[in-house]
Amino acid sequence: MMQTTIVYIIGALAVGYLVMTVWKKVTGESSCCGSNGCKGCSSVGKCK
Amino acid sequence: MEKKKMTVALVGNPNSGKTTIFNNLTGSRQHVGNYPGVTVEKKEGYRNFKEHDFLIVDLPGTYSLTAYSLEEVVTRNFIVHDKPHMVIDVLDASNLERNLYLSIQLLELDRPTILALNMIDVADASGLKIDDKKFSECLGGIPIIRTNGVNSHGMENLLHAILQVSENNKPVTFKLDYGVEIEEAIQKIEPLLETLHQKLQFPVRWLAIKLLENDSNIIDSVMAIEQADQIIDVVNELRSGLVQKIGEDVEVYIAGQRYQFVGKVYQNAVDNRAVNSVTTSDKIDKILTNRMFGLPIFFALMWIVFNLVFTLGNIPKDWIDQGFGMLSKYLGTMIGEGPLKSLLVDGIVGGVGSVLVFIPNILLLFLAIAILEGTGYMARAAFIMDKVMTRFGLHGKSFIPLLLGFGCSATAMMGTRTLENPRDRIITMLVTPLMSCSAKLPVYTILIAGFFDEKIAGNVLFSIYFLGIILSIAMSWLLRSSFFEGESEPFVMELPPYRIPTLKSVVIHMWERSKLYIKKAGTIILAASILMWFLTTYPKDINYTNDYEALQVKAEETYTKQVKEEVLSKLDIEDIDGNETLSVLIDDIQKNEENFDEETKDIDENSSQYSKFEAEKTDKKQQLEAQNQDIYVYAARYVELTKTMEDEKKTIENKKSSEQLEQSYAGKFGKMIEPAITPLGFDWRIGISLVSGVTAKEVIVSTMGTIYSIGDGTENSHSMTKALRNDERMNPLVAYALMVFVLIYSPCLAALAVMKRETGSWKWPAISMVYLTTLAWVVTFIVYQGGKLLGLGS
Repeated sequence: MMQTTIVYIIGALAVGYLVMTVWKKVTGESSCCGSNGCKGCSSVGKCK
Repeated sequence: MEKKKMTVALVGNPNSGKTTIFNNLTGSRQHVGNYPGVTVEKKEGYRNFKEHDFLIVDLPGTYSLTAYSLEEVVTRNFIVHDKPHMVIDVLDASNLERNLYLSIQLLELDRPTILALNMIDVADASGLKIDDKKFSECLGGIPIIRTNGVNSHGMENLLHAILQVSENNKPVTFKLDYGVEIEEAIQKIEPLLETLHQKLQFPVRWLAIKLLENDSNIIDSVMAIEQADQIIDVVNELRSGLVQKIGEDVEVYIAGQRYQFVGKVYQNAVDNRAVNSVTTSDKIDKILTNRMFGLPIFFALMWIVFNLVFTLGNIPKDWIDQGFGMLSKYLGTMIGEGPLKSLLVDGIVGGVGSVLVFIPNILLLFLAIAILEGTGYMARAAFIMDKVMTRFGLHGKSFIPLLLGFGCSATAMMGTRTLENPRDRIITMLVTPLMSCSAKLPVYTILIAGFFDEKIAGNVLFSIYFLGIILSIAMSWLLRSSFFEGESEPFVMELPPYRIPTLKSVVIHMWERSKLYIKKAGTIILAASILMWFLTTYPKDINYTNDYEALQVKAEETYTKQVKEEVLSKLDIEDIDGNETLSVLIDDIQKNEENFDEETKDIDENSSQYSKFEAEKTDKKQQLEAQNQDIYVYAARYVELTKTMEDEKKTIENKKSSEQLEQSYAGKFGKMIEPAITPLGFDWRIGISLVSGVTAKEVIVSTMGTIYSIGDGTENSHSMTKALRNDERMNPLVAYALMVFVLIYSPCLAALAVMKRETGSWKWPAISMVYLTTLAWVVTFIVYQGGKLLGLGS
């Protein structure tokens, strides 16, 4: 039971991480975007 | 006391060493290479110096400030709109005349500027004598600092100069006289721009010159402002008049005036009498870029690189593989039976471990790339390939991003920004995934190690990379002659002088890129492995076709009965421990068998080494038999029965695990797509691995690791190469077909996302995904079915 609970928590964290990563990639947030905005990202699409 | 903040922009021609200076000033480890176009997006770093906080911005290299390519627009917009406190123009001192063209355009932007004469050691060594004082005077008295990025020489002087210029606050006085006709036209345009230039933020004179040059980007900006049409009409009228007066295009004339000025500055400030016209680089180029030998040398170098990556890399790879084997054994004994144990052993160690074992190969690949980049050979490779590429409709400059594709497709797609023509950019982005990125290397290595002889392993690996290049050229031609018709632009590319890369730069480059691979293993691959474990392990409530528990019990009962009848009753004992000599003898026979299995696990049965171990085993067996003549036959029978029972139980366990895997969520999905990939020789397990590989190509290996680990049914994760070899559906033909499919099919998520960002639309990533997967299917089908027809694959 204990092992099952731990496994489910790890699974939820992994899925959350994957969803977050995919979301970031799709919405275009990249290394040129800082917490304080886009900082003049030079890519054509511009990060959001 | 609060520190004063200052923004400093590093500008200069491609390959003038801006990023090396940036790294020196900020302590960063941005990628540098001895070829143009390494930096394609601006990078920022910080430096504290004497009560000042410097924000240092490394801008993409550019030859001028016209609006032909993205880098030029990015650079000039940054200087004008972001208003850096200081512009450092980094010049390649050994190519001063060419670099000065950009310098004078920068000075016209009226921002405080310092010239950094970089690579001064190369200029000195070539015999070039630069008079800094005269040089500065010719350019309106701007400071000139000598630097050598490679050994960090001149960095302190540069920082001091920034502070000095900033404190003096002297306005930029540089003004280039373009001749009577142009100057008159400028004077007529300037008053019209008085109110407008504040909105556009560009200096009035610069704006007037750009309008006369017919700069499309500036005209668009002006047109966007109300009542600006009249200004454009006036400019057009002036341009027409000028063309008649000067007898040539205004843009060409202005550029000519700039070159004339640059020539004068160079003559005044530089003494090049001692310069040898034929440099060492020229001599090397006579061989490496030779019309006849250039291409064979390029492919020979690639062949050597991939052979080394495979043969040298596989030695430490095996050690790491053994390490992970031991780790999974340890975890197996430490954690009690349950899902957590399976997740750790099969999911995490089986998945992430199978990716991490390739670190030595990855390090070697990036070492080779770092050396090729650092020496300047990459630029030559593009030059050599240009002849081939232009014949097939692709711009020769495209080969630089394509070569970057050996490292990472996403980076390579960003590298296409150096291409001026949007059509060339799109074609290059569409064919870049055909260059095998480093993430695909683990898949190739594992399959080659499993199914091909060590002697030809390097050749097989090279053939895959070579196929990628051939396909990228073929697809370029196809795209160019169908959807992207049009004239190809001429290829002009600077060939930098050959340099011996410093050990530090090579190691940093190799490590930084490999670090990303390790980071990926600890993040996205770890998460994907955990998810794959869930998908391959659940649901748990399965209706098995056999009662495997009962089969296990039956196997044990048969064994107990046979031992009793054939061993215990013959010796008249109750159990094995009842006869100490027998018990010791059984241990010795088992140890002899186990030793032999361990020693010969990776050895070919026909080899002399195998025969040697077999002879040793027989000797030991005969010794034991001679020492225990009366009971040996019973001990040997006991060992045989025990082994048979263990094998049978393992088979039952494997069958149960296989059935569980087939009925898992992933298994059901795999079975669903299996009909589409069966003609390629793949089963549902490969199908799942390929689908999961779209997340990141390394995930193909980690998924296979998890699937084979779970399907193995034992507690311990085994070497994947061994597991693949034991899979009866796999053979060299299927392995090669799989490598071909992995080489070609859909780019990974990161590459697709970069493509979307670079093109501003989802259309191109979608096209890329569909066309590459279709192409992968067709080529793999030809390879597999063709191979079968030729009698291969058995």
